[in-house]
Amino acid sequence: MVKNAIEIENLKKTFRTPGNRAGNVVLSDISFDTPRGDSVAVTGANGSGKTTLLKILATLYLPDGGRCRILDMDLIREANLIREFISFVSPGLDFQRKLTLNENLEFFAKVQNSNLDGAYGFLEEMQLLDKLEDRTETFSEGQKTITRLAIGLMKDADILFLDEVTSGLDVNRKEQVINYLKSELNHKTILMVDHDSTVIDRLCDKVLILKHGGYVDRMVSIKELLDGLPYSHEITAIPKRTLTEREVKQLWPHYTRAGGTIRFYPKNRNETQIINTRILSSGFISRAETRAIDLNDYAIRIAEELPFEI
Amino acid sequence: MEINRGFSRIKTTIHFFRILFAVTKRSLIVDFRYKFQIVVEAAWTAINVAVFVLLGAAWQETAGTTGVPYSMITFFIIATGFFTFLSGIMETTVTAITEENQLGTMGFLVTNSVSPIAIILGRYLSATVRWLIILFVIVIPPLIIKGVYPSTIDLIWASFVILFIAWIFVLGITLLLTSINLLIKRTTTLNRVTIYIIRFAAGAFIPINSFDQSLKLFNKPPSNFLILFPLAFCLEALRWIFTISSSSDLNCSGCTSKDNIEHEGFNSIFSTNVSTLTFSDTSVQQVLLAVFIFLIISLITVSKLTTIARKWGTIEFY
Repeated sequence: MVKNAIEIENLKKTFRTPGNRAGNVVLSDISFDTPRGDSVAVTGANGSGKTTLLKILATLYLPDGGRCRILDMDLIREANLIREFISFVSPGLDFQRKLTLNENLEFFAKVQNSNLDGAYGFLEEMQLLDKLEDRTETFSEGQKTITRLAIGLMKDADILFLDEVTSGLDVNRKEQVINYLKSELNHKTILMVDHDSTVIDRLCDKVLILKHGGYVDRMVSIKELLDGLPYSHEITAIPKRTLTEREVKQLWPHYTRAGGTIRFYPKNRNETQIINTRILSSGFISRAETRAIDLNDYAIRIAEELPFEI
Repeated sequence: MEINRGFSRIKTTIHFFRILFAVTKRSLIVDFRYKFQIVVEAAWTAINVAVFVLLGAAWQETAGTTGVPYSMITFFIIATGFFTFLSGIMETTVTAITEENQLGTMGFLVTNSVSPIAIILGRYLSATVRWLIILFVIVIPPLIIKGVYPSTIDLIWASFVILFIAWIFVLGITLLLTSINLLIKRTTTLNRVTIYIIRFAAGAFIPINSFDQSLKLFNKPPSNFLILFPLAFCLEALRWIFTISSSSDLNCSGCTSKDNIEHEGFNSIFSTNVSTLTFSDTSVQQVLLAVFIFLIISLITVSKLTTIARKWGTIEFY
């Protein structure tokens, strides 16, 4: 019985081309294990190698070094075998648009050696089954996203690599997709990249945080990550004039200054309300914006060693 | 979950053919949805046939062919049909990888076990069907009207043997040309130049024995070397098949062809050892073996280039 779905040790990836022999180092040293049935969100700043990592694990790219095993199969030597057990869905992957939805599904069912039931079930849930005979060139971005997922889900794969799978979906559809994935992929191993922290929060148990340059910062559970949040919101305020320290502290004692912008960090909703009321009544703030700190934001701050303590 | 490594090789082979069938079907459906393109290709083929018949007729007035059984009109019309079919397949197939990259479908295909080899082969098979239809609708009828067709069952069979050898050889070239797109994205000119050179080297524009009287290479006529190029051999053999009266005329010296030309034997002109133009003939077997070796080399090259493209990350980008 295979215990770990993914075992990665010192994975390296540099993109070299004849025009760039030194190459762009994307992944320097990635090591982590994912037990079967876990769902992990890969997060990190732009350019930290999240999508490249997914594409390597999905057998699209070859790694330059390290030991990679998927379901105890070697990622390089047994790529063909691995492809039977994985599914990779990404907005960068597309299907033939001159074909109808059904023709596309039939094609992928044939090449994946799977049946169409999984895809039809998902499409029915997403109210897209009536589009089966429509050519996919007429589809909206949201409908294409659903089609990609339908293709990815029909295989009944053991491991799913999901890259921004809800991008292009409206709020209702996104909710439907999250609910479907949550109920149907309960026992599957999932490795996903998503910039929407609600998606991560609802679908994943753990977060793999990548640092710039392609290193693993840490792998933590979502609960651990949330418990570690020192503040819940960030309020960005632009003053009408240069304020003195005393004037800013009157609004809230915990803040940072960068150029003409002041940022306040309340710990909870209550504190957020207090700061906003003070800003409104002070008269010396021209504009203020409140934003909830999300998981991605937090993970990036950890990875990039940005300050949390004010 | 069960991982069965023991049967993976057999399973992979069966699965490969399933994939190949699916890719071919997909390409055929897509190709026939671009109806305007097919109409243009058919019209272009018709124009080509007409132009080369006229060119042959004009050339017949001023130039002659020595030893061979065909007139200049037959010379051009056979070459036009032969290359309409083969270069049509080639031109359709060489864009396979680029098109998948442009559409963004490459990544989905590769991660679903559809290798670039399967994509190219699938496209090649569907292009063969498409160009066979054009060949039979546009090229064959004028040939029949003009009386240019194999006279006996033996010769009809020989024409299929020769076309098959040429088809396999062109598949090898197409695999090589198409797979370059895995690493380098803009190769339209390279493809065009290669197809043009192949046509020239195969003797589509000038008979390969044109300079045999005036030029010698290693003390031999140039045609004795040019005939070793599989497409030159196939095209030349096809011209003979369409103009000699029976299989036995292939090596008959002083026989008169259907074009009313007294000709020499195929072997005496090209210094070959061909007797029947069937798979049982040793020389034909040697040519077939050579094109199959070339095909295997091409398949290995595509496989290696796929590995490099996965390493460089160029496999899915345009």
